[in-house]
Amino acid sequence: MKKLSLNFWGLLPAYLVMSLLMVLPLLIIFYVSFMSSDPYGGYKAVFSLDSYTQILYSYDWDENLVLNLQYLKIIARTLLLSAATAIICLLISFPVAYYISRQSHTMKTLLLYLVTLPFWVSMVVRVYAWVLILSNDGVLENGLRFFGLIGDIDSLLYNNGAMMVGMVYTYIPLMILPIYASIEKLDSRLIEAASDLYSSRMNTLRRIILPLCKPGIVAGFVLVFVPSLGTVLEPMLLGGGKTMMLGNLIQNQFGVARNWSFGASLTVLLLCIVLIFLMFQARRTNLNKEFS
Amino acid sequence: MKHAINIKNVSKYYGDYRAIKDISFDIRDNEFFTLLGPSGCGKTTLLRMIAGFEIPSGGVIKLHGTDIQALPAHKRCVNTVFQNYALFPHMNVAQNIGFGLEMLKWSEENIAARVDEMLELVHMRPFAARMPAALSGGQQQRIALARALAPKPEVLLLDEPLSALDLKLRQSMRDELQQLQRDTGITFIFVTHDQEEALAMSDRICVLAEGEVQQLSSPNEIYENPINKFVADFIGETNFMAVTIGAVNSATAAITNPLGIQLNVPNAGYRPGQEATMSLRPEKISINTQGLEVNLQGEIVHRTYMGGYTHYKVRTANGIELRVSKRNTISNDTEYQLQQRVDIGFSKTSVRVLCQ
Amino acid sequence: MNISALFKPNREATHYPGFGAVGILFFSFLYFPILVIITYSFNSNRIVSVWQGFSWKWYASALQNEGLLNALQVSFTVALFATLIATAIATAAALVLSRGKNVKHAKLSQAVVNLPLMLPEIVFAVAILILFSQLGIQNGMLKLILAHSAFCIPFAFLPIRARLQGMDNNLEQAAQDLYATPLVTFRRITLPLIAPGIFAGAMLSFVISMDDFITSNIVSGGGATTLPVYIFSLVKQGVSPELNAISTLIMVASLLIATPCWLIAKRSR
Ligand SMILES: Nc1ncnc2c1ncn2[C@@H]1O[C@H](COP(=O)(O)OP(=O)(O)OP(=O)(O)O)[C@@H](O)[C@H]1O
Ligand SMILES: [Mg+2]
Repeated sequence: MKKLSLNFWGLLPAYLVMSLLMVLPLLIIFYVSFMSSDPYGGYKAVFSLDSYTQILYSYDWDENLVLNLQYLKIIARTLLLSAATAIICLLISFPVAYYISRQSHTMKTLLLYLVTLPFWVSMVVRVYAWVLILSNDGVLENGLRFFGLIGDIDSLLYNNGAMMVGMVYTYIPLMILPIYASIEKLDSRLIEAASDLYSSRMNTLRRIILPLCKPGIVAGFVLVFVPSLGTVLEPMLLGGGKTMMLGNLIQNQFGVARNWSFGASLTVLLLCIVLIFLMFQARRTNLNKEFS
Repeated sequence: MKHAINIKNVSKYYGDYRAIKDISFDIRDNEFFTLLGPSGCGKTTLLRMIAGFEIPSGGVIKLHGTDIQALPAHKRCVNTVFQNYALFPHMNVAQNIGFGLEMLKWSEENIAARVDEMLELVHMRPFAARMPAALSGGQQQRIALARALAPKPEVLLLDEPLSALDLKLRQSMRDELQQLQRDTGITFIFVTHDQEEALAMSDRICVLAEGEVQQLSSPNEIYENPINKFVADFIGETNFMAVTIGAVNSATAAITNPLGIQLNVPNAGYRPGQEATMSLRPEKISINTQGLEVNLQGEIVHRTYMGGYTHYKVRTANGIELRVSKRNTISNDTEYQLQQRVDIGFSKTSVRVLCQ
Repeated sequence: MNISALFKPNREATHYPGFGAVGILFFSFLYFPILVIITYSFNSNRIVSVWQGFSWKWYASALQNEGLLNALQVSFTVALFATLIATAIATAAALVLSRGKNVKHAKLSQAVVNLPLMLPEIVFAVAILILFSQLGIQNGMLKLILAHSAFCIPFAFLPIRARLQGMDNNLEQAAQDLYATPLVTFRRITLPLIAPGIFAGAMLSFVISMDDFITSNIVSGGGATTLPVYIFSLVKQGVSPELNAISTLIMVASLLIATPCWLIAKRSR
């Protein structure tokens, strides 16, 4: 009995903090998303689904509902850019992680240190570095012009490409580390056994290495994709506010637009996307477990 | 006749460390060839060079007369049974066995048929759909064997395949392996540090030590006529005594030995006064038996009962302790007691004189 | 990295040609922006992209920047309190979850502790913003400390639990076998052994708190601007050499924190 109460007291603070500062606020968000918006800011405690219909429809001058794809576009862009970020990170991370795993012990520790180091540097600073590089008359433009590779061009900044570079740069260590861990666990004799059985390198990669590293790849994908969905900083600094993502849209509703219930409904939407994605991943990994 | 494998002046460096020192020998077609040696002597290294996982620092390896230096592992008609089996954990038994065939672009029916045949061969038919993790050690071993044999390699390499199994299973797998080699007619190169295993299974044994070939012969030859002290010591048990070469003529050499017996052996190029070692196997010495060339008196100082055998230590009149092993052929045979005085004897042809 | 080894043909089965090249490109990609900032922080020209000459002057002006120093002070205070709270809570939870007997709902508790890791941060940020406004909490500092404490808990929790799991359970049993009471066992055996984990967890949450932008940007106000939020406002005004110097200083500070942490984590593994 005494042991149990010790367990209880040990976990109590964590439960308190998490329920008060995470779960309760999420419930409030959920609640607010079903309230009507208040033109003077905040929300009115009157039930309404307006904030959800607003995602797809808007009122025209005659107060009729018309289809409005503006927000849908932002949502689609968010999904696409996040998926693209995760895929690009994966394509780069796998060879890099594999390469690191084949180095000597000291080299391995050094390279892993180099991978994690930028992670300790403030995200704002890391994104700023790309502003510096990509800005008008910035380092990259001047460099390219110096070598005669470009003439006069539009800014390299403020487009989807610049945002993607920033996002890949920000999140890629999160992909490399789990993939590296799974490659390290892989017995190199399995690769040799495949090679012994006449498998070419490409085949070994496809049939042996990738399937066995799948847990790491899936983990990395989740670790990059989920935060990408809520990206705020890169669109503001590298997308120039022209190309918004869902995170910015949400933030605006609680800031300048002061439309809390719409913001709340968008937050619930984002949460749903994340949950569906996580459930899908969990199902797939479970299936894999059963299979093996 | 072309040899299955020719190894010529092969050496291997790991950094500055010389793991294989300029080795040359041939492995015959269809033979059960064993690489035997203590831990760290370079057996695995040699095997991996044949398989193509390791590149020799110098020398040539030929497979049926063709230099395979330029061929990567996945293009050599050589398959390996790995020490820890290296079964692909995400594929079931049948998929594991079929993997090599798939890589060789066999048709699906042919693969299915061959996989079936292999499962039959290793008596694992009911396990085709199992995952490797759900197999016992011995079963995994059979699947590894089937997987390596399925593509009909010209040479099969086995790196201590039995070391992870318990004693009983190891003994039965020994017989199975030997039978399998005879049935398939594939050249087996078998690596082990277990001399008993080597003697039991091989057509020929190559004894390695510190990256060099010590002796390459049939099991019988290796046991009965070891070429040097290392081989005599590593294979089986023996009694060593330091001796000196005495008078030498063209046919024989006299050996001055601590037992104080008159001993002449065929002259193998000995020089008078040369230091040498004399080896006498314990089972060549008998106790209280009439009619032997050499007879000595001694006293039993130690006894170990082993079931089929009893090992004795006998101290002779001039203070030499000899190990003697006696087969217990008759039930309730006489057991000699400690401190009992006995006569021991052996034949002079049982004595080996080793120079290195 | 040995460049020449990249071009030597390598027939080992485990070798994949081209992966090394990707690796080198990747590390250049990772460090090029950082080198650019550092280099241009020494450019004496006010126009950032045109090199004029070497100078320390932007560091001097950065260190005299009132706003920056204020923001640094806010960030530091918030990070300190958040770290203390998060580490204490996380240590207790980790001890129960990896050492407690018959813990009920261990899976659920684990998920609860790691909750902030499973959501995009923006969700948490707006949710807690609404909470604070509903509760009428005005004090910017208090809001920041509360919010940071919450999302730092999993970052403190993970290294501590990893350390506990890597630790031999028998050590504690051995101590009890030698007549140590549970409390003494904890103080003399468990605590010293998990200290590196606690240290790593604390440092990690400190850095996470110092670096946080998304939540701080939304929650702050009430006179509390954190360092990343302040830098963000500078970046919005455009690139400047002083900003380069500030960024370089932050990177050096990060390096100074990260390296010992990493060394300790590596040694204690
Ligand atoms: N990759 C390597 N790098 C450096 N040295 C190595 C490497 N592989 C093996 N060696 C060294 O080469 C020598 C021979 O090793 P090898 O693995 O061939 O021994 P072995 O005869 O198979 O021993 P065992 O019976 O223990 O398996 C050993 O001294 C070993 O330390
Ligand atoms: Mg070996």
